[in-house]
Amino acid sequence: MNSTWFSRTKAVFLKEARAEWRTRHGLFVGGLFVLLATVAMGFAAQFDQPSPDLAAGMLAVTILFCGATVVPRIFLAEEDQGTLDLLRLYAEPSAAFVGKLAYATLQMLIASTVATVLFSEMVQLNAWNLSFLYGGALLFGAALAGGLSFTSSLVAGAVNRWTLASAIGIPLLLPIIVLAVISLRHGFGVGRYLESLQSLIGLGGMTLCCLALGPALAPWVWGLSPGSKGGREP
Amino acid sequence: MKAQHHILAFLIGAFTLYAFAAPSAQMFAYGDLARIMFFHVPCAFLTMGFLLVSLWQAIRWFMTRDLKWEAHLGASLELGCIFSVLTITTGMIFSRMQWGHFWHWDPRQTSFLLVVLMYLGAVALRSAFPDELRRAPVSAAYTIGLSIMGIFLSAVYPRIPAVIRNGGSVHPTDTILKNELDHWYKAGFYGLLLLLMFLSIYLCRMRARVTLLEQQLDNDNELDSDGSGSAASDRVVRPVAVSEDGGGTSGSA
Repeated sequence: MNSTWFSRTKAVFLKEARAEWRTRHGLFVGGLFVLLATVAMGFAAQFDQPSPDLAAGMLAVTILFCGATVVPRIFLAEEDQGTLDLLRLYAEPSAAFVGKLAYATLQMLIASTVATVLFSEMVQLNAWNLSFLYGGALLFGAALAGGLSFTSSLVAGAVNRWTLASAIGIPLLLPIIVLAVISLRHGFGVGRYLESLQSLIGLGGMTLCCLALGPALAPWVWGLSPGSKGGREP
Repeated sequence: MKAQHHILAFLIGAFTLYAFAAPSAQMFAYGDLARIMFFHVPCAFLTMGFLLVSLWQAIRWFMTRDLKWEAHLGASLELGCIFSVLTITTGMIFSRMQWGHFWHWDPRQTSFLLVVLMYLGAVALRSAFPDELRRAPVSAAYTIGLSIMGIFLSAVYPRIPAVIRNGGSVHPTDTILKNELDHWYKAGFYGLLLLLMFLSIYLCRMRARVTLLEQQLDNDNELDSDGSGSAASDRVVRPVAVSEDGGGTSGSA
C-alpha cells in the first residue's frame, strides 16, 4: 500500500459518492426501505407494545434486510452497467474494493442510525443505554456492509447475481445477529451488563473480521479473469 | 470393483445391523431411538470435518492455483452439505421423539441449521459459475468466510453467556468426551464413525476425479473444435468408458 493506492481508493470512494448524489437512487431506496420496515413494525405492534427482547430482534432484522437491499447494489449495478472491468483497469482490485467498501460502510452506518431512531419512536420504546443501542446498531451495520460487500463482489459475474448476493450473504451474517440482538436488548433495558458488554466486544471483533475478509481476498477474486493465470496485485 | 469396495460395503452393512441389535439406552423417553446416535453423531463430526478440509483445500488453491484443488474443494463442499442435511434430519427426528417437537430453537440445533444454510449457499454459489476458472477463486474465497463463521457457530455460539442463561441447550454434549457410553455403544459409534470416514474420503476422491475428467473432456473438445475446424464437427460422439485408474479410455470418437 502506497500513496497511489490510497489516492485510488479515495477516488473510487468519491466516484461512488458523486454517482449516488447525482441519482440518489440508493439513498432513496435504502431510506424508503428503513421507513417502510419501521412503519410496518410499529403498525404490527400497535395493539401491544413489543417487549425489549422482541424489539431488539425486530430492529436487528430491519437493519439486516436494509443491508441486503442497499449494499449489493453498490457492486452489482457497476457490473450491470459494464463499468466494473473499467474500474479494475484504473485501480488495482484491493483499492477498488476498499473504495466501494468504505462507501457501503458509510451508507450502512447512516441507515442503521436512521433505523434505530425511527424504530425507537415507532414502537415507543425508550433507549435505556444509548451506547449499547447505537453501538450495537452501528457495529452490526458495519458488519453487514463488510459481509455483503464480500459476497456481492464474489457473485459479480454470475447470471442470477442479484438474488445470489443476499442468498449467500445472509447465512454468513446470521451468526452475528445474535451478538447484535444481545447488545441491542441491553440498549432497551434488558440483560446483564457484563454479558452485553462481552457481546458488544464480540460484535466488534466479528465486524473487523467481516471488514478485513473482503480486502484480503479481493485481489485474488477480482484479479482473475477466465483463461489468465494472474490475480496478484501489480 | 476392487476387493476393498466389497469389504467396505460389507463392514458398513454389518455395523448397521449391529446398530439395530444394540440394547436400548436408559434415561431416554424412547430408549430404542438412542441408536440414532450411531448415525447422527458421525454425520455431525464429518460435517465439521469437511468444513476444515474445505478450508485447507481453499487455502491450497490460493497458494498453488491448481484446478485439482478446486475439484477437491467442490467435492468436499458437496459431501459436507449432504452430511449436514443428514445430521439435521436425524437430529429433528430424535428431537420430536425425545422432547415432543421437531424444532426447539436449541442453540446446538440452531447453530447447525446455520451451518446447513452456509453449505447450501456455497453449493448455490458454485452452481452459478459453470466455468471452473471463474468458479475457483469465488468458491475458495467464500469457503474461507464460511469456515470462520462455522468455527464461531460450533465453538463460540453455544457458549455465549446470554444464550446459556436463556435456557441453554438440552442437547447432550459431553457424553463422548466424558466417556459415558457403554461398550455396546462405544464399539458401534467408533466403528461407524471410522467406516463413514473411509466411505466419505473415497466418495470425495471419486467426485473430484469425475470433475477433473469432465474438465479434461471439455478441454479436449475445445481443442478439437479450435484446431481442426470442420473436421471436428464431422466426428461421431460415442459414450466413453473410463477405466478404474481414470487414465485410459475404451471406445472411440
